[in-house]
Amino acid sequence: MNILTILLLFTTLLLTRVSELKTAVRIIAIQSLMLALACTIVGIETGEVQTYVAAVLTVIIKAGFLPYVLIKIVATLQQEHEDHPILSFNYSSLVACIAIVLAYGLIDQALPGAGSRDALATAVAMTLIGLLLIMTRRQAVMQIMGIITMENGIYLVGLSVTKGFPLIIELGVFFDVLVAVRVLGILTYRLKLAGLSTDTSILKKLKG
Amino acid sequence: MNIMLSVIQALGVVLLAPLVAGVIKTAKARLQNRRGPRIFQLYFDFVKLLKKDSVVSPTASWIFNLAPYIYFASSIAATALVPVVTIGTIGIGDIFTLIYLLALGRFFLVLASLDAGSAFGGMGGAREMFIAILVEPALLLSMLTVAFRAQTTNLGLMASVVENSPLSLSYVFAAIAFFIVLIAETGRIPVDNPDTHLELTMIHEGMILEYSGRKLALILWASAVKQLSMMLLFIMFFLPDTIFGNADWIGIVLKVLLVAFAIAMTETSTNKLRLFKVPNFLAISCLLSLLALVAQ
Repeated sequence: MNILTILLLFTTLLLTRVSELKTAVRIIAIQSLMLALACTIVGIETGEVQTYVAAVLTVIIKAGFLPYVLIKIVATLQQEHEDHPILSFNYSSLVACIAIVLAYGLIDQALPGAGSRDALATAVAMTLIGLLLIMTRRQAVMQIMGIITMENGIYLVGLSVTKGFPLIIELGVFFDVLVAVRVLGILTYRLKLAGLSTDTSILKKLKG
Repeated sequence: MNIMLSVIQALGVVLLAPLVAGVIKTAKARLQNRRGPRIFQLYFDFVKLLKKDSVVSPTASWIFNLAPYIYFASSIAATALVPVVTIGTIGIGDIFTLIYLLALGRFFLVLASLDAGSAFGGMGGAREMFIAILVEPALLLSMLTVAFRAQTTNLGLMASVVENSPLSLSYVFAAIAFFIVLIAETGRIPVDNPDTHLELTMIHEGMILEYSGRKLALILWASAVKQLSMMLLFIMFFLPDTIFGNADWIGIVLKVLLVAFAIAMTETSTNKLRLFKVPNFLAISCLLSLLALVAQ
């Protein structure tokens, strides 16, 4: 379980350094797969059926359907790279490292001596790094990656604290992600028809 | 007795270093479908260079004459600190001593490259310092991972602690990070091409471009010694006996050959990075070291 949390952290750090959108989508797929594996391990420990169901749903939706749809969307985009984010790649991975240290510090202060200290700190770090991605990337697909990372982080918090959320909340999370991706798909389709780019920084031109 | 063993060990490393450099060259050549030079070629090169005259630029000062000796001396001193067979070489081996000794040699070499007054020397020296600034924290971080577990920065004690601990993810990450630093410190292909003849692409060779004769032989030997001592450090910390069982000398020789082959594979399968992409490469090393520290 500890190995999984460290690998999750590794994928999140990697996400701050990629510039190709397809690579980012694949990393998110691997991250969701590892999360499903962690969920299965928790399910084996607690023996509840709903954890297994959640793990299977994670694999199908977050590691299967979502990356497939996103890669198709990326293939239709004009620009497949995150060329110059607001915070450059080196600095954003530096900020991600600071976020990890911060997360560990927070968890040690708030819940000292917790058994699942690694998992909790990883989850908080993933949430923070997801937020960093949303803030500092211009491409809409990268921002979606940030949203998914944040949700994975929250999911991990639920796993490690309560040994599995109730299924309803997990379904809510899945539905939320699904809707976001469909909306993005429709938007990019319309943008492609109109011959515009998905660079969100050009939305500034709409300001009066 | 311990001191005798340490001296013999250091001498052995110094004498065998050109052989290992030759092995790497031959491995690289074989991987590229060439035959390559014989593995003892560097020894013959030394003998040839010792017989030649030294041509010195008229603007060079005493630094130019002194630098090869300082580089050689610091490389040998750094080697003497690395624990190979004798764990706890008199107990003076410390991570920071090692790093600073290597930095001392590099500093004087850079000074000498500027001293000779040629443009390529200045360029090579500037690039070498650029890379060194990034390599030293990466090196320190990856070694600190092991030091953290051993609760000490003494190289001998660290090696003995590593021998008794199981394989864990943090070691794998730290091993990869140290391998990246090994490539950068010894000037191998993703960072610097050691076989290049184009001065514009030279980093280490650009610094020593002005040297000839005996001093060049000393510098080449010192580079080989530095390379072998870094490889031995890698083996001591990240390929311990618990995982790759050894039989003393034979085990270490096999591990050195394994690392040499790994270096040759890395050199053959990638191409040289642009100079301003090297920080990204070393940043990966720093990230992995941080993860390794966190994973403990």
